[in-house]
Amino acid sequence: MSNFETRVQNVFREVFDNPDLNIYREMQAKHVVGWDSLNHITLIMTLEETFKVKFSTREVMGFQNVGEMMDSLRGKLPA
Amino acid sequence: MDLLNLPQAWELADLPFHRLISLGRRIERKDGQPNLRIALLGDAATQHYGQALAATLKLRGWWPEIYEAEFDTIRQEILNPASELYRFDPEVVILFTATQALYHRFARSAEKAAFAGSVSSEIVELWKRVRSRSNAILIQHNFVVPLNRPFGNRTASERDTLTSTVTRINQSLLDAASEQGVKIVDTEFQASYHGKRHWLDERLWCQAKQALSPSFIPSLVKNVSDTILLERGAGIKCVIVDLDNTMWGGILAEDGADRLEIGQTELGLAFQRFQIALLELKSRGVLLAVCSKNDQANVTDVLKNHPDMILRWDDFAAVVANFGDKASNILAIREKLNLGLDSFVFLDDTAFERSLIRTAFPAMQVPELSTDPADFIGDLARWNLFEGRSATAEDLARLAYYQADDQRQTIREKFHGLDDFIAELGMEAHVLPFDSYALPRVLQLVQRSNQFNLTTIRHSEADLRQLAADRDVAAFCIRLADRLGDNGIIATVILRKSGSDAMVDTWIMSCRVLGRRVEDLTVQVMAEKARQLGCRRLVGRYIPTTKNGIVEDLYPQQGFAAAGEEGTTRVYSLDLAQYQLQSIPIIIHEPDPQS
Repeated sequence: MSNFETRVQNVFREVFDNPDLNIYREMQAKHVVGWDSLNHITLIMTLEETFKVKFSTREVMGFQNVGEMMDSLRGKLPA
Repeated sequence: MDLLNLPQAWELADLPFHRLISLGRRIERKDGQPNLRIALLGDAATQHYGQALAATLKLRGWWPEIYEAEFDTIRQEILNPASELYRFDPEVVILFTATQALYHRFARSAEKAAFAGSVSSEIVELWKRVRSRSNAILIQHNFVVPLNRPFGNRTASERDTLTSTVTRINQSLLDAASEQGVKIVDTEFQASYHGKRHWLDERLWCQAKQALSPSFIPSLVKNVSDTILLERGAGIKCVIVDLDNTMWGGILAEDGADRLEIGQTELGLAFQRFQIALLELKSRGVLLAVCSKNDQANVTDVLKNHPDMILRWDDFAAVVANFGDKASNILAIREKLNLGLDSFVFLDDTAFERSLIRTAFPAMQVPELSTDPADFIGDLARWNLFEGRSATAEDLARLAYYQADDQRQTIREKFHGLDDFIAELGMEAHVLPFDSYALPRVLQLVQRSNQFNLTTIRHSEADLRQLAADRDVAAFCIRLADRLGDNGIIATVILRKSGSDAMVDTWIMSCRVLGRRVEDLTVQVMAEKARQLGCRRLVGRYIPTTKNGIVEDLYPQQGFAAAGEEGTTRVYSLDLAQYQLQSIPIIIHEPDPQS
């Protein structure tokens, strides 16, 4: 797992309050205990704060799985 | 769960949202914990808010039960006498109204000039309805003045803009609230403090009707909990302040009153402005008290006579300055002021003192001031420690009654956990020669130290270098570190061999570390160095000055025997054959013998 993926995973672990949570690209909300619409907002916000980025409304509404979320996030980070 | 690792009230506003929620989840209900039934009604999403408020109250020792009404049902819940709201029989009712919700209504409103009046009277009407059926504490959020600027700089002066409308609504609510006994939570301030560009996140409103970014919810609900708990009798009534590097820059005992930074320098200005903020608190009836490791007479002199001090002697309800432990001194202050420990805030720049007080009195708020004194005022605003009403005549009378007196505070109650606390500090002492790293600090101590200085011999830098090289001299200093940080060089000693005696030419210590067994440790190292010099006795002199009264009994306290007087100078000796090593909770590191 890359350093970037580890950082994303740490955010997931904090937000869903589960230190053993392992993320994978195909992972969706239904695979994670506690990933409801409320925690979805907390997740997006915590990713934004951690990585100092902003997701657009369209992006937030369009993510199908963790992989898409990470691709979008990575695209916003300085190379 | 370790109570000491739980955040105190002042910290809650700074927690990340998910951290607050996860801490709250870990708290279990305790027997006899006070219950609080809270109804939360909003025209914005309330789930994050409700979760965070529950966690905050749990962390503050209350057990909340929250009834969260359906989204945007404030009117129905309040107007229908058979609603869930009234069935729930709340002790607190919160009306969380969002400025974003006004936006659409205002845009569609035909009577823009009358909009402010109709919104505020509608809200006041709802208050009255709640009042007619319930004695609950009623909390109303005011509205964040929005960032729309249809008229540019004229926006605020045009009546038909949402900006000026919201300003007027907020004012009407304030006016009506005092009549109706409603508590206003100043959301507008919170948004301004944190920055409205970040607070009013349009995306979150559009996606989820979130009135603010969850990042700021801990701060907002902390203020809501302050408002609720004030009604339940909580509240800070006294601020206990340290002096050195908290009220002024510098250390009085080492730098002297004329070198303290108050007002005249950049740093001094920051301290002076902080004093003004504390004076404001005093004017509204919060008591101020001093707890300082200093000589009482010197402190009195600065408080009464220093021209740049804003806070003066008369502003303090108690002034306790001595070299005893601060926990016992705080017990003395508490006894004098007759307040519960949870009514105090303790402000001190020294990590050791904060940690001691937090351990000794978990109920007392012990916040961490920023490292830059220029940030102190902002710290006070963010922590919101002083939620309260204006001073009553009784408050002001109490202040006059408690005016600091010149008598020393008598310590009747002693804090007993000090030895345990010190033992767990993980103190480590490094015994160092006067090398090029240590010499500047040693020189400063030798040249400046007045109080914890047994002989007050002012060696020059050249003298010190010479002494360091002399084979019949043992010159060393001690650097002290603990788990809270590095205290730097805190002791300096020069021993001269004279036959079989080791004469203590110089013994200076930093007053800040008194009471931590460092004196005992220093004697132990002295005894060892004296033996290395081939001596059988340690001989110390106390040369009295106007400033070093604090150490007049140090030698007898350390087991030295009186061995005569030379004028006013008192001589003491310690037979090394009789000296017994004590058990001291400090790990000693010695340099290599050849160095």
